Amino acid sequence: MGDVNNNSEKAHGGSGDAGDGQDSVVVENVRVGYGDNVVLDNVSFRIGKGESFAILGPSGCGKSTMLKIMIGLLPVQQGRIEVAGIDVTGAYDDAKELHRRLSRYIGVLFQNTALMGNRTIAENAAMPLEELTELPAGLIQGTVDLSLDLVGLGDYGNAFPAELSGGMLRRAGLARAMAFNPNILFCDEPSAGLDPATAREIDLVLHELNRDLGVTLVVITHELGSIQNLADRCLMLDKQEKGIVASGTLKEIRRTGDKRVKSFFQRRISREQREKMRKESSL
Amino acid sequence: MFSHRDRNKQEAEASSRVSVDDGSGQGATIRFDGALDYAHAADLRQQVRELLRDRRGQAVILDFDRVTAIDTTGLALINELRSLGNGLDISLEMRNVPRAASMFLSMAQERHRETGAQRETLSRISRIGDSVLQVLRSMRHFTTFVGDCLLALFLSMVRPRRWRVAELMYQIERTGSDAMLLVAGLTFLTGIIMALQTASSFGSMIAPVYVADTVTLFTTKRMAPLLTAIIAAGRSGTGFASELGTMRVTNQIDALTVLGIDVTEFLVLPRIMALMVATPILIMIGNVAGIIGGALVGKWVMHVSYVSYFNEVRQGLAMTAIASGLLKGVVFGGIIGLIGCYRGLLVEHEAESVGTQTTAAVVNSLLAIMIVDAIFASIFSLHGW
Repeated sequence: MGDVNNNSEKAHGGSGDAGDGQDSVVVENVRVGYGDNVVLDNVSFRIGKGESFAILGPSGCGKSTMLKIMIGLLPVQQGRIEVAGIDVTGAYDDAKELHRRLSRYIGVLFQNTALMGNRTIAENAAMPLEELTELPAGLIQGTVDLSLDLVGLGDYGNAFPAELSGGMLRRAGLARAMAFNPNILFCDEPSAGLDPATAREIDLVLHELNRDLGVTLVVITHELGSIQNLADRCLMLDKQEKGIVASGTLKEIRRTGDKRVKSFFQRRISREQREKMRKESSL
Repeated sequence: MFSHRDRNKQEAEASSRVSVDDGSGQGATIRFDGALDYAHAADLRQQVRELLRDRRGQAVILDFDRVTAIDTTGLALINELRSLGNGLDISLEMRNVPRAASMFLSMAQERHRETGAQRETLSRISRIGDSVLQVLRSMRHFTTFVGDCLLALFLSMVRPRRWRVAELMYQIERTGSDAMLLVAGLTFLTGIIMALQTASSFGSMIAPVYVADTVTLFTTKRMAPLLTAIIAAGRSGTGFASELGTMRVTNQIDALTVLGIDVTEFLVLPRIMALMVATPILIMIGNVAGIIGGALVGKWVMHVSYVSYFNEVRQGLAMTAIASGLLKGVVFGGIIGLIGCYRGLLVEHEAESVGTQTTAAVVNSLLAIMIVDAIFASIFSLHGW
């Protein structure tokens, strides 16, 4: 682990082949982009069942693109992606069927929560069950109540998204994402833009889902706090490299001498940089 | 602002000027004095440009030693003078450019090179070809979208459990009930105008006979369907486009897709169906309002009693005219709904795109309405309706 300048993150503890049921997510030699603009190239990694995995990197490095291809919103130009044993790359001829199948295994918490503004929190959480199952209304209501209780929003079922704070909205988004008790939960910047206390609360809920319910967590973030709180393992993407520059546990990644990794983790301006800036301003 | 030396602010704010020294053997030296900022850049620019033009093909030194401060406008001026020097074949040397300023310039140039390399430059012919391909791709995309909607409609017909009655009623209320007053008001006024026009065209002796017939026929066959469709395009079509577009920008469409919910069935179909139901109803309301408008003019301007007016209306009112108006309503509603939803779903993840697609939705809808209305007119006239 901790390999630097290598777009292929190889084996990790307990991993196996795509079909052996040990991995929740398998990404193999993937290339993705928008037209001629390649964003990620030759990217490979695996995420084990029940693992809490973070994909990190500076803005514009392709984290959100990575998320989109894993949840089947963007086709890859090359390579293979398997999520919960479903081939996400090969099923684009019938995207609707792909998403119907995937939705039973994955949940997605979007950065802006993407809740429907004209529906209450309970109605938002009930939507997937109403649309995709034949469950009677009473059972759906019971399931929604449980989901809302799970994220601590039991008393806010009748509130509209506009009436909730940022942290509560994330929880509501989480309740909807957990509608089918997914095996894998993808979170796009779950604590971005929240105050430290609320961000910690969200991290705690996610950590509990991972630890107590065994949900595989895939967190896209550049928040160091979230990475520290949540990630068993992580990988770091880089814009210039168009792929992975480091992977492993947070400790392993931080120990690498790679300049890009260092500059990502080191927000503080070094003494030499400060000195240089002082000289320049005195000119 | 990049201060050049540790000089006080007052000095920096004092007037700036340029001086020329032609004495040096290396060529003329143009010396900047004071602040090179937005307040002085225009004057300095004019002076230096003139000085440079007079020294075409010579060597010139631009000396910034006495510059007290430079802002971004000053940097832009330095860049511009460099280009001007190249254009005038002047061997230009920059001296004593503040270090921070030169670093800023080189950083900007580096970024410009990076992004410039990614930009694709297309020749004019390629651009025309590109536009043609774009149009063909759009047509294919729209056809697929229409096919998707028809399939969703068929599936919901064979599975009545999938009908979203509550959503449909909500959309009918938004597109129909909320537009009722507007449609009634406009068609009522147009009925009045039409009756007055008839009165002034035919003269007071003949007009009373024709006013009811003219207003009734023209309202039911042409005016009410067209006016209602235009209002629906402006109100509901743009509403659909901006609503779905905003849902795209805020990832709500992505969220529905990932949840396995069919966006066409869930969002598009109820809107289109609602407009297909609401538009004919609005046309009927428009018919009534237009005829009432004509009746008021008949009564108060031409002294035709309401009884005679409505008798004339009853005789002149052809069922085919009403039916054709309603048929147009269903078709117009479907077209406006399709275009509005299609444009809304085309929005990319940026706010500006919502505006662009909303505008496109209303323009496309109006164009389509006019074309389809012309087709209807030809077909109906062939059948003598």
